[in-house]
Amino acid sequence: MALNPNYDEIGKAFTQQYYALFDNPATRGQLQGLYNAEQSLMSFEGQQMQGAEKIMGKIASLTFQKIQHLITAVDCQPMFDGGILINVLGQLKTDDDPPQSFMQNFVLRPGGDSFYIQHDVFRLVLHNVAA
Amino acid sequence: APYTAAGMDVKKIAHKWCTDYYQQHQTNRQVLKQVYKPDSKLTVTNDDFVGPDAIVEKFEQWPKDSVFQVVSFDAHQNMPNGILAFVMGKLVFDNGANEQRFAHVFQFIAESEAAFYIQNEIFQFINFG
Repeated sequence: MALNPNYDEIGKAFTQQYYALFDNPATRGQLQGLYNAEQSLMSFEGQQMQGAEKIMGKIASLTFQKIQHLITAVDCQPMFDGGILINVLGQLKTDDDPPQSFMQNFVLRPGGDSFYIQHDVFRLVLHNVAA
Repeated sequence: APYTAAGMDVKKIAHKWCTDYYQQHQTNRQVLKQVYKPDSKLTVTNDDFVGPDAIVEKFEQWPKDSVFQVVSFDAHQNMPNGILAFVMGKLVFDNGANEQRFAHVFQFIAESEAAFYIQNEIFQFINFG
């Protein structure tokens, strides 16, 4: 068992950093450094892609000029392999559209002297049930 | 060898486990103690509960007639023997008069196709937007 005792601090700081990089078009490309070339797995609104290049390709394909993520809540848990499980709830605003609620989950895995995103799952919170 | 071998339908297995879990939540929460071990941790909005007794005691505080409806479901394999499930749903209670949206994340550790336990679990009520 190798729980990281600083999981909450690391998880919350990572979350802030991620959205700060994402929301600034000048720094969005730096997100690539947070994903692993082969191991990272993303589900974006149910669509799965693997590896940093494909993930960045998905992010680059999103059609907005401006985006802002506002974080409402972040919960973190340590995982027994040293990873960190993060659940984020928030609102995002793109261009002049009304704000939308979203849920995003990250699993961070230790790599080198840092962490990389091993799992990334994004869903918009919809108002109407489509079971 | 670890149970979660490549090629397994991760989403189908995880969906079944989650469906069974929600069903048990609705019929007899005490039985849920069987899916947790002493190290299992539940986080509900920044509060942590560790082990089967503490976790199920927390659940018993929720409305008795709650029905879980799954709105969206994603699952990823987490090598070597973990499955991560990501649920967004609605808790419907007071005979359908009230509903509460929630986000629910699990890490299941598979010991065999039929035997798993929940090692990590995060539950958040969605109260905005």
